Amino acid sequence: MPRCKIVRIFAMTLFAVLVPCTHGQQPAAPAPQKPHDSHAGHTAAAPSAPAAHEMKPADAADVASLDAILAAFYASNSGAVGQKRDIVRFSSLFYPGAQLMPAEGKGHGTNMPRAFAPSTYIANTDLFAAEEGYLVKEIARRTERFGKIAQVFSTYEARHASSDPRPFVRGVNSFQLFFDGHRWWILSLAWQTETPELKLPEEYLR
Amino acid sequence: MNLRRRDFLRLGAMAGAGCLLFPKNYVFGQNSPKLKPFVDPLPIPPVLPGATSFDIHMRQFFQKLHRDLPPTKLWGYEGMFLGPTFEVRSGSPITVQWLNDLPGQKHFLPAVDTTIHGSESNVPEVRSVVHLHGAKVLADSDGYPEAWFTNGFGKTGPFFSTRVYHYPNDQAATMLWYHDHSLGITRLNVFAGLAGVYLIRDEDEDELPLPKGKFEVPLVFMDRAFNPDGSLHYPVQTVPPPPPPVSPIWVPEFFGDTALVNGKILPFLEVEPRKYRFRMLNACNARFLHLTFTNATDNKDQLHFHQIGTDQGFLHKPVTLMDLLMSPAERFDVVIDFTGQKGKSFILNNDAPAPFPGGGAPGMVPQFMEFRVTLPLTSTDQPLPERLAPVHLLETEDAVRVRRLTLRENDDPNGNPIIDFLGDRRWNEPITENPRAGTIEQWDLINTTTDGHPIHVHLVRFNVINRQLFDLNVFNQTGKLKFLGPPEPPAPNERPAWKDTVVVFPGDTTSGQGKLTRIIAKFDLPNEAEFPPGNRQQYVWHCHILEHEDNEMMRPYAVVSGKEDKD
Ligand SMILES: [Cu+2]
Repeated sequence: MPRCKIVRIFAMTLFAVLVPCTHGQQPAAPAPQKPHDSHAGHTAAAPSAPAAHEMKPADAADVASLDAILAAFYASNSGAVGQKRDIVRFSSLFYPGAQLMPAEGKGHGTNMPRAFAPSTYIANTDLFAAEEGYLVKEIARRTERFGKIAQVFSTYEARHASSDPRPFVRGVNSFQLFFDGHRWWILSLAWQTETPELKLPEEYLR
Repeated sequence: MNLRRRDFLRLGAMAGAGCLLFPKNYVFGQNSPKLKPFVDPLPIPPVLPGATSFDIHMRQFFQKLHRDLPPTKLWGYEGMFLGPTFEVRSGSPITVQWLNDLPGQKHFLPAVDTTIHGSESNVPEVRSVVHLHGAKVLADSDGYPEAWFTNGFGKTGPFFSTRVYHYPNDQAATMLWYHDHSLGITRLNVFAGLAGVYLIRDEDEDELPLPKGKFEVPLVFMDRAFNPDGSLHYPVQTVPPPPPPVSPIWVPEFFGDTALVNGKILPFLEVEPRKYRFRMLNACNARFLHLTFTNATDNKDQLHFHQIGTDQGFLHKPVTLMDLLMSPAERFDVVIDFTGQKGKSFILNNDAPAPFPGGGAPGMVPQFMEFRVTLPLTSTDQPLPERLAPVHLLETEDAVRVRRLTLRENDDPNGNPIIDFLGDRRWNEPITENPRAGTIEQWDLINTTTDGHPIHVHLVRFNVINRQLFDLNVFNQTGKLKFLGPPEPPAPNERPAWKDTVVVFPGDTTSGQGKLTRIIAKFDLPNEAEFPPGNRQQYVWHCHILEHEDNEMMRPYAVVSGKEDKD
């Protein structure tokens, strides 16, 4: 094919600012294995065992009691406008493989609850918290405990700013927790928000 | 700070009596009239006559999409759905003047969301700009999302620079497609019908003994939803909608319940007992397709797909597959052999979960069309060639740079998706991807989400290198990649091959796994065009789930002069 060199000048420079990429040079990936023919097209990721986490150990004071771990949960889940939340502290409260499941979270067109890993929940909601403000606190609690296990119905409310007269959302966090002899772990968290059709009953507000 | 978004969320919360972040339900595209399958013949879009310059008009019109459905109001190129097919020769440039003859001030689909970037209430709703997907073109002819124009070029976007687009066709034989790319409403304009096929031919292809003429058929797959009167139904997210002016509202993905091929609902094609070449395109807004070919009567006999090409040209040799996974915007060039099947009928089936791969959205589109082996054999065909065209893969050691680019979903605290990001940045933030013309770069696309995203990079063709699982919790907490296994080789129809759209698969996120996809591209301009230091060619890269693309899962990138001193 004949190739000609042409020189063109473009006005688009006016519209954009060049900013160097902040990522440094990474080592190139290993060469792929040679693919072989005659099997099916690409496939989705095969499910496999939970990842081995390099979790930073929790602050002992955060996990010494049920009161402490719930206080640490609400503190690390809260963020004022412009503030970055402590994802490491939040993640350290959870048992590896724990899932966070919002009952009203719609996902991408499904009515089943979504499931987040703790760090993904914080990473995915950080933009909202930083832009809108998400100050969440516990307003009532019901606890059942037997030996190493506990379940907590923790009623919460959240405001965008502490000066907001009313919360913009309320709901119930349902925690499953485990005490290993040294510390408490959150095994799972499911939560239901209040909706126009589903009002918080009095018993969950005391 | 995105104040509009913030205000919108506040309004949404007020609408829910102060206790809801987002109203409760989407209205899904799942209540279309039930239509009898396989009663309409497959239409073949007309091929434009050979020429070097074209005027193509976008018009509003009504078209019958099924025997039993009243005519549907559509927008299409040259008043057709699909638009007419371009057929051009590699190395022979053409020019196209795209003309917006669309009527009115309001989009006919009541789903414009003025909270989306670039789609604010002061931007004209009936705007258009055309992108030739997969074309190696200079930036002013690429259909930049903010280079939109209205009817008669009455108003133009901030990046508009020319009425006439130059397509140098400086690339190998393949199937491209043209479609609307207007910032903030691409999902609606394409949904309305603004799409068509663009075939590039070359001498290598001429010499291959492949089915030609009436034995080479484009198959463009779409899903849509309809109201009983035949009109298109595009859902809005909220019931009831929040108070004006913020209604109606973006949905994270559109999944329709009605399958179309080449603009007809569940059509049939009569074929001869011989080989056919099908130029397949997934033109759905968001739906992945997982296709199989089975006998219509016993559902057992399966026909194989002999894939000979993909997005950017021929594979080096045919790959035989029992099933195909196609994400939005991918093109697969396949040969199906109906030899010996006289009298039988075959169904092209789909069983891909939506969203992909997690599933959960109501409704499936289980069938796309029927093939009836009823025509008498008029001419014999030849065996498939063993070799097609060489694919000279790019070497990772030649990459001057490796960029790590994160795909991230942003949710409200209740787990509802708000927007998706590429590279952790919004559309309006400064350009960060700035390859130098003529250089090779490796892009590592780090998927932290639960969904597969078809990532498309304008201008270039690329090779898929491999994929690799990583520890999502470590990445979320530290930004470091801790790999959980060896790199996985691409599928045989992905490498060796030239792609322009790649599925960036997710890991198993609930088990704390993310997945990374590595691609490598040479950022060549057409005909090795040069331009002075300090100037740039500005393109975009984005997710081709159109709802994601419209809501921040798209970023500008710039090819800078090869002579430029860089950071
Ligand atoms: Cu996407």
